Amino acid sequence: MTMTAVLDTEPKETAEDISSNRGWFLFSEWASATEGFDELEHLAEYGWSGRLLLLKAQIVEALKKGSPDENIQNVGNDLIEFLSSKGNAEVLVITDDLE
Amino acid sequence: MPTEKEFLKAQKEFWDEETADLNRLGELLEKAGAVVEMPDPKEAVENAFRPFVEPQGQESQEGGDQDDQATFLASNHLKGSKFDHSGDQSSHGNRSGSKSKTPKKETGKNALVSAAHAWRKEGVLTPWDATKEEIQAGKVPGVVWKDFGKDSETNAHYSHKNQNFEVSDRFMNRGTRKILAMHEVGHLVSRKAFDDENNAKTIEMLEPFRKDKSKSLGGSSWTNIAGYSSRPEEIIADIYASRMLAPAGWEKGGKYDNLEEYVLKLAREIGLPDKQLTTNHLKGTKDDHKQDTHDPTKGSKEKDPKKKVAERQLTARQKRAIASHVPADKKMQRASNKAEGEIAKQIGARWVTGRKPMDNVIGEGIGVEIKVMHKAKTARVNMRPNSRIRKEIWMNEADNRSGHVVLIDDRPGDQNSGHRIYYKSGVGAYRLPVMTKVDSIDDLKFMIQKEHERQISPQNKKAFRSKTKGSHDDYRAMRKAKAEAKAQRKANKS
Repeated sequence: MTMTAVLDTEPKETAEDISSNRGWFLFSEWASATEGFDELEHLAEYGWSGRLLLLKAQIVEALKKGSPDENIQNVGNDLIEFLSSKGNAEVLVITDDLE
Repeated sequence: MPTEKEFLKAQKEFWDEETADLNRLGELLEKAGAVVEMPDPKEAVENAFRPFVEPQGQESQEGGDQDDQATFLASNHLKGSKFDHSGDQSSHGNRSGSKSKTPKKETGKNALVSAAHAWRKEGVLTPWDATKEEIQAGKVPGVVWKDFGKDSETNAHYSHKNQNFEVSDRFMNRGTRKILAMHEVGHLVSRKAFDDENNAKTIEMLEPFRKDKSKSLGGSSWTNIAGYSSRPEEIIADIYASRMLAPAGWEKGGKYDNLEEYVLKLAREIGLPDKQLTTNHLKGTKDDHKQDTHDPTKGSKEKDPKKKVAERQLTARQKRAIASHVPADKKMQRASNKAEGEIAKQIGARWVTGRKPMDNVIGEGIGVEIKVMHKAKTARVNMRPNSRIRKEIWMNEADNRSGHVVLIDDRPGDQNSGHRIYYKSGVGAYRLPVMTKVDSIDDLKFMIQKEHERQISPQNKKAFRSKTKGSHDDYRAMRKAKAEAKAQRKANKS
């Protein structure tokens, strides 16, 4: 199963495959275990974030600090890349696209 | 896991000890002039033997429910007695056969019922706000500190005997203290739900959620619409907890709504709050019984950063964006991962690491997309065009590659289609009716293999490459443009 990252860019939302189901599972378990990165923890817990700049900064910092394994690093880097490219977005939602 | 015989023996011993204590207590109370009403011993033993045996392999949600289970079972024989501390203020009536010397006199409110109200008041420390030191100092109503031992999995436990909500370091380390606290309060509702008066009705309410066709309560399990455990008393506690934290999300009058309303009715009967905790409650105001408007814009002053973020201010646009998708929250993610892993293992697929087009591959060339439905309202497998194209490109890269979609319908209750495994050859977005219902894993493996051979036949492969060439060329051009834009951004930065 593919996990998709969706940004509420206007006029049309932007979506991109961000990882496999298991890749996101590993990433979110790691994110939940981090200390002091509340926005990253929030994303892992609820599957969305509304503070994108803070989230991006926390992913960068947490990856540096935590040195997780390669799969987690890749998901984190892809997320950073995705967040960097979309200027006017306010919310990031991670979804399996089954709605 | 003990056998049922061992379990029942342990329960009986537990009950005997408890009864001895209660008898002593009863004598003391009678001497003090209290009205004492003891349970009928025969019925009490029968009640204690109610077959709520945890199904094999089930783990409790809080890691501490074995104790709850024991107290829950033991508590059944106290129904209707003076020592029933469930806080039940409704008129139960006496059970048939029980001997009452005097008319029943209402007991005082259960300490946890009082605490559940107190936690909503101004200046009162709650279990989810308090520090370890504050709990140890007895500053949180209804909550006491307890060391369950370093090897214990227990993080919180409600002692029916002492009416204390006991917590440990494990509880303090949890990011979900609020829901755990509400869950423990919910166990009071569970007790009420399975007392003599309500037992039959509760089972009837739970029946639509029974997972199997077993008639036995002990050997059966139920879909939990608000948590993880499939044990009935845990389900009731989870439903109460979930309603205290969020408004109902079910269709009015549906079976989910009915069950939630039933749980709230029981909560009201034992004097528990039945309204959602408001943002004000989280801040600690006097707003005790007001229906929650749950305006996330109010924010909170909680110490826990997770909660602070969860109740943050959202713009209308943000609310719309979140509402238009089903975010993959942790619970859903864990369940999906588990289900996908199980199916992949059973069909002999391996997990391809990294952001690859196909997550599960059998042998060298059979790519399988496994989708797991948990909350989906539409009976459809979605696949975004770019996602589909990436898979198609992977399939076209070698002559022996094929693509397949497997859908697992794990939706609860009415949402569930009535069948679990669906299959479709190829990759794409499919509606459930066009997919094939598969009865077993062996059938699934057979279909995948058969369709793989069909897809990789030279004639079909050629036709597929020709059909997809245009969209693939467009996709490659788009990726190229993206890569160039990325390089440009990097260059600008440097």
